[in-house]
Amino acid sequence: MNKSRSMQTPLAAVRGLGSAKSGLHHWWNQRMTAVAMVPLVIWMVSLCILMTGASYQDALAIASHPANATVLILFVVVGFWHAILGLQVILEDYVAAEGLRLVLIVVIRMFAIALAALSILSILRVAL
Amino acid sequence: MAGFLIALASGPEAFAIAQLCVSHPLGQIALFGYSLALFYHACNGIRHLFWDAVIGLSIPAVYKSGQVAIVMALCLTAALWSVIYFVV
Repeated sequence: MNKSRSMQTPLAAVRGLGSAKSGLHHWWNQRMTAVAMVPLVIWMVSLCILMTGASYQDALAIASHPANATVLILFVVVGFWHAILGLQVILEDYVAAEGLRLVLIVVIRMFAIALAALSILSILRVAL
Repeated sequence: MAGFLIALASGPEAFAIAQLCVSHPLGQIALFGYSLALFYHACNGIRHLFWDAVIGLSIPAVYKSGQVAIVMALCLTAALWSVIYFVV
């Protein structure tokens, strides 16, 4: 960048799209989903304890409570999102072959989204 | 977890099979391993979040928090399974 002619500040250059072309977006989403997962995991572990040895009717009652169903859906969305981002970083770091890396990232993403959709459908079917 | 939710939504027969899987010794071992991995990942993830906030970046603090994360993960896993086997 020609410093003498550009009106853009160095900060703006840093905040814009860097060499990775996606800026902070991926990194920031990973941190925010991580923060959200902390309370969600605590709630989910509590649900697992409540569900231990539960009868079908008990399990239905627990999963269909609006608060629990909401947390279940949030856990599925945020959890799979966090997993997609994390696995993508692992693949980017450790798979050298560009084609294979892209295929794996896309396959994992599609698989995770499909599993998330199926999970959400199941939660809604139980809760509604 | 997805399998369990799908089974719950599929009816009592599928739920009974899912219950059988998770209560079988092999299922319990798998769940134990999964819980340990989850708690370790959570504790170490929180450690990373502190680093992102520029907290605890000195070498002694890094070693210390690493030990704390491992001990916390073991304690949480032990607490979870104690509750499952002795309280519930």
